[in-house]
Amino acid sequence: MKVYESRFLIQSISFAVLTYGGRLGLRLGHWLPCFACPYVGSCSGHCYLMALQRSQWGFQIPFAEFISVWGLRALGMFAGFVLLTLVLSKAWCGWICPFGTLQDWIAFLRRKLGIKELQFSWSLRDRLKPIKYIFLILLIVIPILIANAGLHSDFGLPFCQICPAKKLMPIFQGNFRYFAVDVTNPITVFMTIVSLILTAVFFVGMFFKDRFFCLFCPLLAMISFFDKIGFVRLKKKVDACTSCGNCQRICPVDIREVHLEKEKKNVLTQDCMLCLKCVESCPQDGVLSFRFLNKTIFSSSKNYISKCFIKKKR
Amino acid sequence: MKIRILIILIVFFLFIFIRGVDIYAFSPGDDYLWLEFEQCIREKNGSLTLPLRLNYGRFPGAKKGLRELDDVSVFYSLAETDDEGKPVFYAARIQKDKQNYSVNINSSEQNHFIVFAQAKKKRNKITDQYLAKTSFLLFGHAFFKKKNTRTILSREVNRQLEIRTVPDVQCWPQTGNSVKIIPVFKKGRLAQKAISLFDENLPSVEIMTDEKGECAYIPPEDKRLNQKGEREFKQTVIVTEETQGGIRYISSYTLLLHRSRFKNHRFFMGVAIFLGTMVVVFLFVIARRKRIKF
Repeated sequence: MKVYESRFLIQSISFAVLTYGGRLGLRLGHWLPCFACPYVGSCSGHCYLMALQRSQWGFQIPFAEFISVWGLRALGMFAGFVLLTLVLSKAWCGWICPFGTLQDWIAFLRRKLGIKELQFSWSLRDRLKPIKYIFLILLIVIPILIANAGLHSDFGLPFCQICPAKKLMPIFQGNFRYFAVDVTNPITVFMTIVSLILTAVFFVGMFFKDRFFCLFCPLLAMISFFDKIGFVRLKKKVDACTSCGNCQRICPVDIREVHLEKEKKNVLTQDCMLCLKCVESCPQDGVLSFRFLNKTIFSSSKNYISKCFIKKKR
Repeated sequence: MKIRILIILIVFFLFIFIRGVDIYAFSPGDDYLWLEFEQCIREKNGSLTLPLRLNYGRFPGAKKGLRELDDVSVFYSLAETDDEGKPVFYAARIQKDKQNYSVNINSSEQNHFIVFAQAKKKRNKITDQYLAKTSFLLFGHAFFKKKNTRTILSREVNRQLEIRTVPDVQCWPQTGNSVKIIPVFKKGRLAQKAISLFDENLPSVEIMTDEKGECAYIPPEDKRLNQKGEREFKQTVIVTEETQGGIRYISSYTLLLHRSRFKNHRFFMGVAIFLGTMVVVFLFVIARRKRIKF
């Protein structure tokens, strides 16, 4: 089985398990480093971002409570998240995340319709990069302000409120209720309208650009903090690279560092989601390799490319 | 003349007698005992403490001291029964601070509490027997659970007149969700019984039970509550009374209510905003993708 086939299979299984597994009594915890949306009633695990913003396991607690069981619980939840992140790193994004899978499905639909992908300039990409960190800072700071500075609690779970996954993922359970405007008070009106507008923008963006939302994903930003100490590596034999540029052209999130890198051996970058398309497309034997605990799991080869090519020809 | 005076006297005594019965019927001006929720406290060990204040008077504002009441006691049940199927009651320690009486209910784990307070007051030939009740869930998460220090109540529990609600407990009680109110007097339901509801922000209302001895109450939207955060709550006190054998039983139930989560959702407005934005963005991308260099 080819890597892209394996990936498609694992993504589909993960999507089914994380979206419907709750109906079978599966409980994977609140620390998953992927967009397993808690607003899907039948989900089997929860995205860690929600725990991070809550008072039970996250930052929405008074400073005095940080040194208490409540602080320890938040720390324990974070430790669980870090452990899962260290084991699979960005593979959570490329292979498991249900929202990532949804984006891939939408992109697949676009390709089937024969619509070209939108190309962003490098300068635009560089300008967009900090947005995910801004989201990450806000989703930590706002809960702290609610708990300690009297900010209105309707700003609670700030990222979940505007996250497009909250609107789009429950659809797979037949639940459309999060598309409503909440007219309870001016804050809820503002937050729901902003979230609807953002969801619409991201939805169209996801159609025209592969993994558009991942450009802004604060979870991806958090995961990338642990890239250097994770068990997973994307290695490059810098000397053997012929700079053909295949890796850059095929990358769904337009990473050029894998192509341009001339010194570092680990080319797992901030936006990488370990889809391994770059490794698959590299025509040089062993130049790019995916490693887990320093053991090569998959590496580039002429043979692999020719096999894929021949199969397609037939 | 004597006969006329006699008739007047008889009518007068009848009037006194009838009034004598009538003045013991419950009216919104009468006093009662109720339990009032305060903000839950998160203890350092991970357990939760819910302070409940005992009040006597009229909800919400007209509070009198509890010193004029006798035999004030508080007990609670964990929605569990003994071998004979009877509920097990535990004694709660009342903390007295001048006129303020309160109890702290602590939970190290997830528990469903039903808390009762009882008291009585003698006046002339009739005794007022008060019972206050409330029900709630506490989700404590203590790492190290304390040994069971609960004391089983040894004294008699006076629950002749009790207000029950269906559902008896809700994870997130909120306005807009129907609650069935059932006044139970000596194990029997009370049909055609007046139930008074006193709200923190809204005018009081009175409803009657039907032939089955129950009535449905849908807590109305409360704009003042809506302005507060999602976790804020208000309280509604349900009161009823029944007189029998020289004892007037006055029972209350405190209903804790959050604002409604979904009643204020406007679905079509939301879908219109979503689709409208989608069309605009879609057309923008289509129109500009050849001309614009992002």
